[in-house]
Amino acid sequence: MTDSTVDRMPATVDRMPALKAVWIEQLRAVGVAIRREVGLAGVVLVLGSLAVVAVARMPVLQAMLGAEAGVLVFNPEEPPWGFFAVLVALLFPLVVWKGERRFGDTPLWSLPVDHRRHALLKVAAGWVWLLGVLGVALLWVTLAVLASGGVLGVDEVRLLIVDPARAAAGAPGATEPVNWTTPWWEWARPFTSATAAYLLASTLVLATARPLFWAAGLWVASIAVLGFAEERDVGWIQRNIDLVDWYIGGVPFTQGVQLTTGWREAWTLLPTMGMWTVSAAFWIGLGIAGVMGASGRPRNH
Amino acid sequence: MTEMVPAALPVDLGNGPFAVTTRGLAKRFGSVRALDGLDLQVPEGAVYVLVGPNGAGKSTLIRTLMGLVRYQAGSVDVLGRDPADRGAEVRAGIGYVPEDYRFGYAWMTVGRLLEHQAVYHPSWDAEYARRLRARYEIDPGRKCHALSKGQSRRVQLVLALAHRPPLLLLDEPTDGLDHVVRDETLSILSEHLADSPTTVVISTHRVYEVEPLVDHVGVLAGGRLLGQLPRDELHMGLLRYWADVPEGWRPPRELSGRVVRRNGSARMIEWTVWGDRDAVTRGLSEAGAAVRDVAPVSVDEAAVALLSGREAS
Repeated sequence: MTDSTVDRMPATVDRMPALKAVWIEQLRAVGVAIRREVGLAGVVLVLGSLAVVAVARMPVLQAMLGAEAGVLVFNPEEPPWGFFAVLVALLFPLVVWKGERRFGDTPLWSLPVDHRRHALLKVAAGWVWLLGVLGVALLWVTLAVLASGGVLGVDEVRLLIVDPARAAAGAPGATEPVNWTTPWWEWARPFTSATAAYLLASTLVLATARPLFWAAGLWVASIAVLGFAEERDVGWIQRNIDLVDWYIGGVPFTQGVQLTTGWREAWTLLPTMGMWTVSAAFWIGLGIAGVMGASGRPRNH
Repeated sequence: MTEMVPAALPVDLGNGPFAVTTRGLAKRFGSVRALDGLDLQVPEGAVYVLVGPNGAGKSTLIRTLMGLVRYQAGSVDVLGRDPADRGAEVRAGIGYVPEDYRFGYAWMTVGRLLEHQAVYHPSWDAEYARRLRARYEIDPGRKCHALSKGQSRRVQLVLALAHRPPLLLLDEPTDGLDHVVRDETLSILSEHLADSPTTVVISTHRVYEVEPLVDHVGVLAGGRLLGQLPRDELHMGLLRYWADVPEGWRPPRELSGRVVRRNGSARMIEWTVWGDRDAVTRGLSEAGAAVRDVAPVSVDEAAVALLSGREAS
């Protein structure tokens, strides 16, 4: 290094952008990138929800469509809300990274920011937008349900299976009634499951040149594992898959039981805040580790 | 009769100061040696043209200087830093026009793209960017995906110049430009160099397009530098000789290794020779050749002569 280059070093440091400015710019740039797709999804959501409200509030439409009059219930515990959030989150990184050649010359890597830091800032900006989009969507659905005269959450008596072996035959004492009110954390579950799904999908997008190919491969592999677990009756795999199913918005802990009053849906397990906390910590932790690892992968090398 | 041999041209530019140096730089892509022990020296304030055929390693070298490609051996110093360790700091001082004209941000408008770039460069000169945009007749409301190759190149040049970086790395900057815009670009670059103290590295295989700007030349082939020297030195030292020779004439031994390119017929030679003009003329005359004319070669002709010699060797 020559003396003159040493003299010049502070000059290039002065030319570095402030991290806060980069963060705000990434928020803005991702906002521009996702604008069209989010706009389209918004139009579908608004039209769909308005149609539901119209049917719920207008007996004429109910009669025309042959729909049953009833009260709309927005229960975050049941599909499709959780699945919807996870599906959006899985697709979101593709939109966030739209047009970026992650393994080639792209403006992002040519800018004066450390590549790993820049990738993480972009992922974080996408996450902020994801939560914002989900928040607005769920708020809209909430308002739409309320406008249609519906209710939020459930307040009901659930039948909990305490003796699985005798429950199928409807033996007395094999089930017990439990009062259930949708807990507050069930409203947070779509956000945490979407966060985990977004981070894991971002890992694929950052780590692989063909994320959809890898996603398809992982999906096929998980179907094979599920098939194997069911075929061989491997209990621990099935239990963990049930937990994943629940975490992403499914209802895996129910089964039909024959009571003297007829068939009823009963619960093998009632979700707890502990289950939600542990699942969220595990999947989000896995996603963060994945993104951290993938963001440091050499690009364009 | 056309015969070519490589000649030993200077590769050491002395003690600097240099804006860019590499020592023994090596990079392989699988079994392909892209850079093979490269010793580059770009003096501060120079306009250094890297000449070479496709696949010579020019783009890999420029991307290595940007910190976009990791080298495997040797050392790199760009503005006092190693881009492998401090790539962000290095890139802060570089205006870069990549080989690929396509933008990553296809959905952005040009105006938004310029705003985006400005955030990353605190030294961004918005007024200068506006003037450049106007001279290039770039519509800021146009979406990047709708730009032609030439329009994209112009936008890339604005992005590279508007923060007035101390180092410009331009990879085929005139690629896709028509004659009028190419001349305008050369004019803009000349004015930029007059206004802002800048070192420029231009990679191209069409030297004639940028020749008026150039003051240093590096000839690259197969990942190695065949020579690097000031343009004046090239003009003084690399000359074309026309001479009549007798039947069965044999070249003088003292010119061995200095002839870059041999053309001609049995009775007339047209040689491009590296060396002192008087000494070469004397050598040819003493061997029985009647030297009819001696002329300097352009940088472009020199590059063609050196590279065709290399390819034949």
